Amino acid sequence: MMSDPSPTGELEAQSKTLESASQADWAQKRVFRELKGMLQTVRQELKTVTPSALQPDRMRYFEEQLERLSHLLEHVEDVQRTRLEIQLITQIAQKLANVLELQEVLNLILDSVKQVVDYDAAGIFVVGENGQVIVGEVQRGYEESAFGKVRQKLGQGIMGWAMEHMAPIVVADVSRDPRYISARTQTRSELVVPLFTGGKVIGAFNLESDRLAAYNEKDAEHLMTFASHAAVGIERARMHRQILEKQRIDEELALARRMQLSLLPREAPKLENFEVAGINVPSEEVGGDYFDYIRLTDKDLGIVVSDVAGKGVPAAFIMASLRASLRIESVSHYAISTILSRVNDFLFESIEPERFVTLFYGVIDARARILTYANAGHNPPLLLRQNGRRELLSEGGLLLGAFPAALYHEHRVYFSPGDLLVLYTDGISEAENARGEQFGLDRIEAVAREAAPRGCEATIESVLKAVRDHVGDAGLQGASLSRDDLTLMVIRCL
Amino acid sequence: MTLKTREQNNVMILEVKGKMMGGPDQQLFQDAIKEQIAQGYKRFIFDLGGVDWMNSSGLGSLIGALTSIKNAKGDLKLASVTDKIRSLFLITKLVTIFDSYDNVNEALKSFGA
Repeated sequence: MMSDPSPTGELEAQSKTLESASQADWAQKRVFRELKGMLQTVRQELKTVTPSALQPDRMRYFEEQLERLSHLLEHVEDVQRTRLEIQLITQIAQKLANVLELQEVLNLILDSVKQVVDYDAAGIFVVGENGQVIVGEVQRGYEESAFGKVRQKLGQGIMGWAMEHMAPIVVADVSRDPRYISARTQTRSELVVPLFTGGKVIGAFNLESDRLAAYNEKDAEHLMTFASHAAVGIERARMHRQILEKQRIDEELALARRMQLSLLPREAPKLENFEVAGINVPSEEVGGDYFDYIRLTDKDLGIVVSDVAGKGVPAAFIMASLRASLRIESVSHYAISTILSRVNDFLFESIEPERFVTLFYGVIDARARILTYANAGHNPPLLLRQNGRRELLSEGGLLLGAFPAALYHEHRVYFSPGDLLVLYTDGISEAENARGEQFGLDRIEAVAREAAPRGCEATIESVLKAVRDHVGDAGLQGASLSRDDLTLMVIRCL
Repeated sequence: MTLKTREQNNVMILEVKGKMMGGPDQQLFQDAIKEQIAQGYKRFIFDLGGVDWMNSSGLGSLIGALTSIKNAKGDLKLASVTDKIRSLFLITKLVTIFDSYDNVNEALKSFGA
C-alpha cells in the first residue's frame, strides 16, 4: 500500500476533520446553553416555592444540588473550551510551520480566538522595528477611520499598560477606567495581553466586547496561549522578511560594487617626469568614491579624485554620470573652470537636491612640471614639498551638483623633483579610532613622506596600512572592508 | 538625531541634536521642513549646537532644506555651528552659501526679529 504522497490530500483530510470538529463544538455549545437555561429556570422556580411547602433542610438540599450541578457544568464547559483551544492551537501551529505569510497566520489566530473567547472587536498589534512606530497587523470590528486611534491605544491606554507591565489586563467597565482610549463607541469591556518573544514585549493582543464584564482571568489565560503562538509567528515572519531584505541589499550592493569597479582605472598611466599610482578600496556599503586618469595629450594628464555623497546604487549611478560628463567636458574644453561649471550644471539638472559631489580635477603638464587644478569642495590634496613644506590645494569653488551656475577658479602649482602630491577622500583623513580621533592630515603627511622614496605604490600601501592600524578594533582589520571607501592617489615628481 | 521646533516672532527655529546622517533621519528632516513651509513659515533658523557628527548625507539634508526654503522664497540662517561642521563647510566651500551666526539670538537679530 502506498500512502498518499501529496500534502494537499493530507490538508484536505485535516480540514474535513476540523470542519466536523467545529460542527460538534457548535452542537456542544448549544447543549451547554440549553443546560444553563434549564438550571436558571429551576433556580427561578425554586424561589417561587413557598418555604412552608418544603421542609427547610429539603430546600437546602435542592439548592446545594443545583449549585453542584452549576459548578459541574462550568467545569465541563471549561474542559471543553481547553479541548477546543488545543485543537485550534494545533491547527495554528501547523500553519505556523508551513506558512510564512504572517497576515494569514494572524488572521487564523483572530478567528480561532473568537471560538474560545468571544469578542466584538479584536486586534493583534506589533511595535514597529524602530521600537516607536506602531503597526496594526490584523484586526476585526474596528472602523477603518478609527484605526489611527487604535494604534495610539497601543502606546498609551490599556494596551500601553499591558505592554509596559508585561501582564494581561481585564477591564470590566471601560467607562470607569481613565486609561481607556475609545476607538469604538459600543465597547464596554476589554481584555489585553502582551505579546512576548525572548523576554521582550513586541506588541499586544486586544479583545473588546459590547457587554459589561465580558472577560475574566480564565479568558486572559486562554488568550495568553494564543498570544504566544501569534508572537512566534510574528518573530518568524520578521526574520524571514529580514533575510529577504538582506538578500535584496546584498544584490544591490554587488551591483553597485560592479558598477564602481568598472568605472575605475585598471592601471596607472606612464608619464614623463612623474610617477603615478592610485587605489580605491570599496567599503562594505559601497561609498561613492571615484578616481580617474584622463589622457589629454601625450604630455597632459587629467587627474580626478571625487566623492559622491551617499552610498550604494544611487551613488554609483551619480558616479557613472559624473565620469561621463567630466570625460566629455575635459576633452572639449581647455579651461578647468569651464569644465567644472559645466559638470556642475549637468549634475544640478540630473540629481536630487540632497545629493552632491566633491571633486578635485587637475591637469598635469608633465614636460613643464605644472599642475593646473580646481578644487570643487573636495578634501584638499597635500602637496608635500621636498623642502618639508606642506601646501593644501583647496582653491576652486563650491561642491558640485547642489547649486546652479556656480563659478570655479583654477590655480597653478609648479613641481620640483622630489615633490609629492597626495590626493585622498575623507575615508582616509576622517578614519576614526576607538577614541574618536581622526587619522588626519599630519599622519597622512608623516607616513607618505617616510614611504615616498620607495615609490608611489609603496606609499599607498603604507598609508592604507597606517589607516587600518589607526582604526584598529574600532573598524575592520586587514583586507576586510571598512565603513567608508578608501581612495588614494599619489603622484611623485621625479 | 532629534528635532525640536519652536516659533519665535514668526521665525521657525529647528533645534537639531545628535548625529546628522542619511537613512530615516534624512526623511524625518525633509518632512519636518516641508511641513513648516506648508504651514507658511518663510524664515528659518537651524540651531546646530547639539549636532556632534555629520556625514555627507547629513550635509545633503542641509543643502536640500536650503533649496526647499529658497524655492518657497524663504530664508535660512544657521546658528551655533560646531567646529567640526564649520570645517566641513570650509572644505566644501559651503561657507559661501550658508549664513551662519554664533547663536540663535544673533540669527534672530539678523532677521530683525
